[in-house]
Amino acid sequence: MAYYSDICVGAIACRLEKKEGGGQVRVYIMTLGVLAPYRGLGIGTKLLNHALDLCSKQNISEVYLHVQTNNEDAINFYKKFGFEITETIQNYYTNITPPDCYVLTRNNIIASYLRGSDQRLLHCFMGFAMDVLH
Amino acid sequence: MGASLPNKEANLFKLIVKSYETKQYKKGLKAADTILKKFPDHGETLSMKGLTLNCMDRKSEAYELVRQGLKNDLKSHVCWHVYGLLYRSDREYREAIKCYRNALKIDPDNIEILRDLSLLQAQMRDLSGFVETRQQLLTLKPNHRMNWIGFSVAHHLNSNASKAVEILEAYEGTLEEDYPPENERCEHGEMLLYKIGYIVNWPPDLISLLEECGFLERALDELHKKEFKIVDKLAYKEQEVSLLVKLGHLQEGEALYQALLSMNPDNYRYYEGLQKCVGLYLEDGQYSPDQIDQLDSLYKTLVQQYKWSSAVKRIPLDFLQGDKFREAADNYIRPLLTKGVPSLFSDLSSLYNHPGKADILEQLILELEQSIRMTGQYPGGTNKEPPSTLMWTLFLLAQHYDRRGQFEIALSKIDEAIEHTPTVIDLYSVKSRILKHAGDLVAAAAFADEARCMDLADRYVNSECVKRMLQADQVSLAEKTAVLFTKDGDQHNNLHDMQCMWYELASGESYFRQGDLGRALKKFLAVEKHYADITEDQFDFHSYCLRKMTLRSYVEMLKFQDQLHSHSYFHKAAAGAIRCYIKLHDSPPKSTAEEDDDMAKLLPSQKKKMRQKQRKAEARAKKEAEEKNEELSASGISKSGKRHVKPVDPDPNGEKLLKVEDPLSEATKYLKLLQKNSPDSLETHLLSFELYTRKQKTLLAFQAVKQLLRLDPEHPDSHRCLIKFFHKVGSMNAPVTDNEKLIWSVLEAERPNISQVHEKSLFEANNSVLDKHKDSLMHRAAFVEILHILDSNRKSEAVKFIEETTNNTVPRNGALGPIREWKLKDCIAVHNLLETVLTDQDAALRWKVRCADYFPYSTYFEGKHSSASPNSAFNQLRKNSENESVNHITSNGKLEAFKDLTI
Repeated sequence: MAYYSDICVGAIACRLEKKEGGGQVRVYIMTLGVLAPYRGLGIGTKLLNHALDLCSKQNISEVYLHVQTNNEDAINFYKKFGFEITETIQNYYTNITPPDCYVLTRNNIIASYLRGSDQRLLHCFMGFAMDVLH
Repeated sequence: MGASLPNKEANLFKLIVKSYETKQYKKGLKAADTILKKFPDHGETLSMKGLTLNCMDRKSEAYELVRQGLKNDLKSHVCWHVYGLLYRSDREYREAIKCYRNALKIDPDNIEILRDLSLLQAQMRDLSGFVETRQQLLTLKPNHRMNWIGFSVAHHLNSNASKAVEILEAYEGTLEEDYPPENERCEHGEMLLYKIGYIVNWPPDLISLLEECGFLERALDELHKKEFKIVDKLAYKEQEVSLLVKLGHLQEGEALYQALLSMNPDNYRYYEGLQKCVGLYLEDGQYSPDQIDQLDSLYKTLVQQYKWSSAVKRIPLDFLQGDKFREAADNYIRPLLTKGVPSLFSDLSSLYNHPGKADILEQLILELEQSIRMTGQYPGGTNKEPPSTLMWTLFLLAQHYDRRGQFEIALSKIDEAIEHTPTVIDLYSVKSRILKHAGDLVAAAAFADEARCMDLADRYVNSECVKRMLQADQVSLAEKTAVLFTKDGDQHNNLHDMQCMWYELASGESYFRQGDLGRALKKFLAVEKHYADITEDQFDFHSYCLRKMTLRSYVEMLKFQDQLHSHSYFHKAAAGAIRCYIKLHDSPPKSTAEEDDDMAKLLPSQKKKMRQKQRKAEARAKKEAEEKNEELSASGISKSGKRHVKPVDPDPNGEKLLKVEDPLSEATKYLKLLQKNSPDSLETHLLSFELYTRKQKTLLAFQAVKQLLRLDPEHPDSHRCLIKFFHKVGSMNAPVTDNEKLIWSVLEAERPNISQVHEKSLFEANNSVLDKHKDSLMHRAAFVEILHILDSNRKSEAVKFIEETTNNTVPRNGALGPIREWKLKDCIAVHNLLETVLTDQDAALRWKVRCADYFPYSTYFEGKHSSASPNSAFNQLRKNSENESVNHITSNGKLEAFKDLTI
């Protein structure tokens, strides 16, 4: 969770998954969000960087997530971090339109971080929840 | 002790005493039994055995043995002492003192008994006796420090300060030059400060006397001389400065206050002292423009000196006026909104009592809001504000409008804040509070619960939620919620054991509203019991504080105890209990005979069924109670080895409390405490009036009326009681007995002293109140009620008159919406008046419709926004939560807020 001067304004939740077949592990970003008035301050960047840091520390090279096909802001945001569209799934969502989504995947461990930092973001504290899926 | 016994038994006797002191009761009991085998009638042994049994929870045996022992050996001081100790353990101090006195008759120099006696005298505030006992102790053992101190404290409490100081000085005279040794420096320093404190804290009316005797000078000298011996340097400085000020050495005082401020620049008392030293201090804060200018420049320099102090920035808001106030408030508020200080409004709230400042604040905050909305900056600012500033500004505005009674605007502001940042708990708490003020207690409880769910580990939001639930009369829900924060095991009683009085009061009030007098009384009396316990708690300190030399705190604690019952919680509890008893008197619960009557109306088969049901329920309850008792005692033993049995409350619903013989005399007990400890509260005398009119105590009721007139002759309730009283007196029969004649003559003599009714008919008196307060709703209500009492034929006139009252707007220059004069509470009172006193249902209904318009959030008047109506905020919330439960992600409130957010 991200705290902006003691107010909780954002959060990220990820989980570890075992890849089919091989014993390798990858990370799925379940959700990443920041309250609307607090966007554009680098909070999402911090949250995501934190998750990616943890991944690289544990030698996890693959991180992926789903995003609605029309959510250009999000797609651009993730692209900055080296994510790429690897798949399109039709009718992924049942309750929103368009129902299609992209799968964004990032495979490069050495991807350079574009850290947007904000001076006022002093108390940024992040927890990282990981569930191991069997 | 044990003198009459042969050697072996005498030793055994000593063993009993020793075992008692070291709490090895079983050992002592065995020794006692061994002696008693040979000497079954030995008085002192019997007594000691009794005392030992007393500590093993065998009370009745204990009393029997001790009394037996005393009977067998009336000449033994041991027996009397033991008897006294027994009484003391049962808190029967008066009896205990008598026993000690008897013991001392036999053995006048027994130090232990004297010491025990002195403790009881301190507890009972038998001050002259206390002085005497302490003197005896000192004479017997003058080499004991504690005896000197004790004697001095006794004189102090007995208001003989010069003697108290003399004794301490005599004591100091007995000390060596190099006193105190390193390990007693703290104690000695305390003693010195205490001694000097006597003089400084002397009541102001006696100060001049002290000055004549040169006491203050001497105290200051003494303080300076002993500086190196005083460990508590801060207390030293504070004492010094107050002496300097009292002696008129203002310049030195000013310098010292500056020094104190540099140590702690947030202590308001230092600023006050500093102002006094420079001659700029008024108790009422009504400074002249000239003084305000001087104060302004004083604080401008202080701000430079103490940059980190918030007090130095806040204080000027109290004395500044007009434009200067506006500017200062602006400078004060801006950084706090940027930082996000949730308590900002309560920090400012005292300013709302200053005329005109609320309007200025409103304009100011609205301007800030507008500017941040448009530009993201404060007006004239250069830095971009963080996004949270807008939310905190809305938060402040919501509380502002709440305070001004403009609930609709307040709610719109807080809703906007919640939409902006839904994760801040304070927003929901404030929304709950606004709804409470607006009259929708159910919705208020719901939002408090919403706040609680956002942080389940926060006791404060939990407690606040419990309170709102109780206000909305959701007692069982409140109980469940409160219990979340009590220790496991003994759930509900834990709140009682923790002396959680706000809870007991609030649930008592709720039961009272719901007409459950038994449970209400139970709660109110529980609070009363806490106060008795607090009085009791001081006992241990009489010996402890003298030993530890914490004399200043000790004397302060005694003073606090002396006015303990004037505390507002006690006042509320006692008033609540009295109201319960009055209601009980007015409508007594059905007696068993009446119940039988009810039963008789039923068919025989129904009757049988009901009886069976009752019996079953009783049996079940009994069984449960027993099981619980057993369980408790079992677990109590296994855990601590000692027995910690708390018997299950035999009367959990207060049914027994309802069966008092004479509820009014029960109420009188509490009324007396109120009269003694809250003599300046209108409520005390209103209750007194109600009670004594019911008890037909004419003169006591008259006294209550006089007290009311003393406190506030213009108050509608004072007026109501006054006229009701004389109306009642006027309708009584002519006096027959001597007693009645006497009462009559007193009233005749007193009536001319009361200007309101002197040479006026009651109608005239009633009219003159109306003339003075034409526009006040509550005065009109009082007028109408009295009119109805004086002449019930004028009912329709009365109803018409109250309906003609207009709800004026308060003149002011606010930017948003008008403020109406009427308060919700008063309108409810008027509705009650129409409905139950004037019994005009149509008028009551008309009133309700009218008020529903004024108070759209009130559930009482079923306003259109209240939870009584389907379109209210509360019912919207409920609908939402139903939707959420269909597709929610997690039950954690925080995450729900994010569910529709993506980047």
